[in-house]
Amino acid sequence: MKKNLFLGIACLLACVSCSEDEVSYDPRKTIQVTEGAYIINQGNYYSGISGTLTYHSYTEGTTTQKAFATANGRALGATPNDGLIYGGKLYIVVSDEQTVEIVDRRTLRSVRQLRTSTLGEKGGMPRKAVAQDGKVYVSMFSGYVAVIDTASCSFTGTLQAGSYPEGMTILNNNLYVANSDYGNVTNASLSRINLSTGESTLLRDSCIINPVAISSYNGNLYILDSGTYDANWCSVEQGVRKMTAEGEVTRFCEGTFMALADNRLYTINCPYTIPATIPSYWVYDLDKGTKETFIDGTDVVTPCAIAADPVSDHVIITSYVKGEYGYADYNANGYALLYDKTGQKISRWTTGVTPCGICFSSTKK
Amino acid sequence: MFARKGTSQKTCRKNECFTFISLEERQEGTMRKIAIICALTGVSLCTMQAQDVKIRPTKTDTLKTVTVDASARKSLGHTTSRYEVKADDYATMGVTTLTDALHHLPGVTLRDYGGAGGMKTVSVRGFGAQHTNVIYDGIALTDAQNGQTDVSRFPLDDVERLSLIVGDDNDIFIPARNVSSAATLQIHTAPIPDAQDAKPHLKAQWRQGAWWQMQPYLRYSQSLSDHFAIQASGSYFHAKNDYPFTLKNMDLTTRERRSHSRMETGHGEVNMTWIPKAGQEWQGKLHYYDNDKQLPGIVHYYCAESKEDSHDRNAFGQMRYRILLPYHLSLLCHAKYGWTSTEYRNGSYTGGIMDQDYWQREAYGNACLLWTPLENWSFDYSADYGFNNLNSSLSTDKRPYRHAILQSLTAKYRHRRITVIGRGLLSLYRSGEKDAEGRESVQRLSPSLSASWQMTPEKPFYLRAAYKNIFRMPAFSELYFYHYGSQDLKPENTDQFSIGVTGEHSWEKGTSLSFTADAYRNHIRDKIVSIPWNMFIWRHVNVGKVETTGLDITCRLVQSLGTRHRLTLNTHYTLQQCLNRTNPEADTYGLQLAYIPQHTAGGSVAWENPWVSLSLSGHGVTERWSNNEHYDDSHLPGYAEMGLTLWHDFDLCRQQHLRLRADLQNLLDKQYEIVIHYPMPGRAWSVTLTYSL
Repeated sequence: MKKNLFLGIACLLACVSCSEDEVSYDPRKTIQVTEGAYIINQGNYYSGISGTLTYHSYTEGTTTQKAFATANGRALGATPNDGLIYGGKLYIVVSDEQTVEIVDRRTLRSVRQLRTSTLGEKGGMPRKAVAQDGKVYVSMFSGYVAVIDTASCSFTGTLQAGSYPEGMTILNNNLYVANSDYGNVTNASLSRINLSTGESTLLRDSCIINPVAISSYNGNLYILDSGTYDANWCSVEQGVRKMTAEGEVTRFCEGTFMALADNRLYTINCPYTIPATIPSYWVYDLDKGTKETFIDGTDVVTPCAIAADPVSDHVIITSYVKGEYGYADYNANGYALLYDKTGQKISRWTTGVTPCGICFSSTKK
Repeated sequence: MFARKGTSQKTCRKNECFTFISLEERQEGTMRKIAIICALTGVSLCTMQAQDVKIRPTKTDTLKTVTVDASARKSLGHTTSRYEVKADDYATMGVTTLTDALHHLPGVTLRDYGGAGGMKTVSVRGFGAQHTNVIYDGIALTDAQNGQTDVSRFPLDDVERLSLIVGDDNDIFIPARNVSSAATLQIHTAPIPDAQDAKPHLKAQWRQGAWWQMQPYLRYSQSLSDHFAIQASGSYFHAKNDYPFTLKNMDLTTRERRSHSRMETGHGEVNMTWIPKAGQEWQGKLHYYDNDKQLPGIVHYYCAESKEDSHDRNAFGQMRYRILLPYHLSLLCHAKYGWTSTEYRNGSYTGGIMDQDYWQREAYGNACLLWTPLENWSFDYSADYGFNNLNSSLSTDKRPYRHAILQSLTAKYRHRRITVIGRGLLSLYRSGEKDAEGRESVQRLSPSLSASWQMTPEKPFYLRAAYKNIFRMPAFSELYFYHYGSQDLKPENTDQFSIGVTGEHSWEKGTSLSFTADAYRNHIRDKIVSIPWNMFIWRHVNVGKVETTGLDITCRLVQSLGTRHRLTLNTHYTLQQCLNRTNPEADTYGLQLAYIPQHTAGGSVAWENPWVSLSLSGHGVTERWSNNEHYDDSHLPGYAEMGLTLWHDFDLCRQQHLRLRADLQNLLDKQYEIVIHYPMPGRAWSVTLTYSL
């Protein structure tokens, strides 16, 4: 009896022990990037899902999931938030790992991993990236913008921004930074940083309370503001603001996501309200001042990101899938939809979890 | 989990229970006599339902010692599942912390964030941790904010007995709040000596362990007169907890260390017993707990930065009064006042440290009236009132509060081989926010029924079956937390059905075996889940449905080998098929719930001998997922862990006693996670020196 029990336990322990360590990954394989798009997936680190990179090839119609991990044998880690193609490299900004992964844009092999902790107190929580003149600028929640020299692939310094910087754009040699203030409203601003002198100026306006993204066209800035919440936790005051060269800020349109390519400003408006707002998808012609419905949105469950490519004229909208409770599922793979500039759907492919960043590898229309 | 059979000899102790009002004994003739003797002499016995109690009066009018046989048997005869780990078992089960002890209880799924400082919560038979009520010396501990208790806060050295009760309690003379959850974990602290034992008692202990763990513990207790006894205990715990772990990032494997994990914690407790006259007893307790710790946070692949700290403090006073009344009546009253403070700091926010402080207060009062008019029948009516409130330093604070009135009516019938218990619990909750309009009321009637039948008249083999319906109230954080709370939440409803067999057998060669086997089916309706309206706004709603089918088996085998040698084997196995039944259209339908393993097993084998006693213990679980979707990356492989304990007892002069004990935990240096990205410590040692008088 006793012996049997011992044996039983031993077997049980043995069974349990041998089922572990069986983590298997794809063998390293070469990825050849041509015409296509990269999707940066945040993952959901708290439930154990590392962020990933999805590569979709237009020419072959193929999709490579976990492309970074496949090429490098290691994961991106917690919450990659943005991607940027500049020169021959892809820069992936990983917020919770406090890293910027620099990879070859063709093979996705790692060139260098930069850690913002090397910037000392000024580094921390990188968010978004923009580039110009051989420099990549990475906004960080620490209140600074890190400067990466693209030749040496290393940090060369920091620029002072405001409270919780997010999206950026460069206009007339000035870096404009959206200082979101983490949604606290009181300290939200834009920073204008002269890239020659490094001089940083804070711009404030009563219309700017939670800016998260900036784009520029024809000397004007288009600022996406996430607004705030009212007593019933409904989103209020979210939308796109326009700032003229003279510094005059006006409310341009509604929207919770935006993307700009040439004179076309694409917006998605899906704020959380009671009763629910049905998401709407618009395209504005900034030259003519006209507005049209971009798509009806029936293909999109819950939008996650939008991006527009001035080279190919493509527009990509990423979305969550519907979870068991009828709302966006933050623990399941999302998907991307590719449209032409008129809103014709070209293709759809599966992405990783929370596909929040999109960048294009295009050379032709 | 069972007491040793046939060997335990205990000095009678007052605070274990007051036998003259204990129901079981009233129902048996011999018991009745004991009760009367006890009532007359003011002496209480140490166990409630012992079936074979012999009394050996040592002096003319007092009872010195009671020999209790088969205290294991008493829980075998229970109508519902009750599992225990006792202080005597700590060494033989290789247990040094309360968390270790929980690994020896069936049906338990422990959520452990790793290391001494990591939060540990208990869920039972597929119910969430908020369905487990933790009862500390007879009165429930409440956390109105989150609805769950971190069990790592209690030093095991203070704990005499840890009991897990699934479903209804077999004891009917208890507060209504103690039966208001699907499962209860009862913590019984060390008893106070009685009037016959005037000597001072002292326990002094020092434990030293890996990663700068230091834990002095001191307990003093003495009966100061025939009417009054006092006990005071205190402990301090310091640890750096910077244990190494292996970080696997696909092809990249690195050896890292936990950082920002220092912890300082202490607790102090004073207990008093006052017996003004025979048939009456007052008990009082003052408790203070302080825990200042750094939170190492989730493990990242490329950065190890945490600037989070938390400082938890809890103070409470509780009181218990028992009196034997005429007309077969007994009265039991409880009162408690508690205060809890949680200070959370996060230095990783720019523009200042994020600072969140929460304060909770609790007031509680209860009265239970037991009536045993007939030999076979007993009835209890319990009425409880509780008040909880919460305020915080947040600008969005609305000061939520809750009044609770709980009443239970219980009938117990016992005749020869049959025991039947039926209970109705009427709950009335009224919640609101001080700084806002509107109140929500919840009123529910929750029935339960359980029975046990001794299958053969001669042998202790029992068949038992139980049903219980109960619900849990949403916690304040679920109701009111900014951006997350939903005030229209309903309670989470549960139904439990179980059927089982228990039994015990002894052989002549000094072998004894006891076992329990229970199959169960549980349902959760209106399960509270957090769903995202968008990335930033999550709301709690009652949408989930869960169906759990499972099996709990325990087995204890004791083999005496001569007079001073003994082999003890304890094992348990749990099957939990805990399936999501929310939305048949969804991919998640029919999948095992996050973090619940399908199979759990544990056990220990000990050889007690005159030289160096030793025990080998272990537990393991099969694979789990960290989310309900079973996403590839969220897979957590199964693990098994083992520990080795060696100890030796030195008997010094004048009843002084010294024990030297060495523990080696995670003997095989197994790297595993219970909560994803929170690595558990590898191999660790501790040495404990205990002096007792």
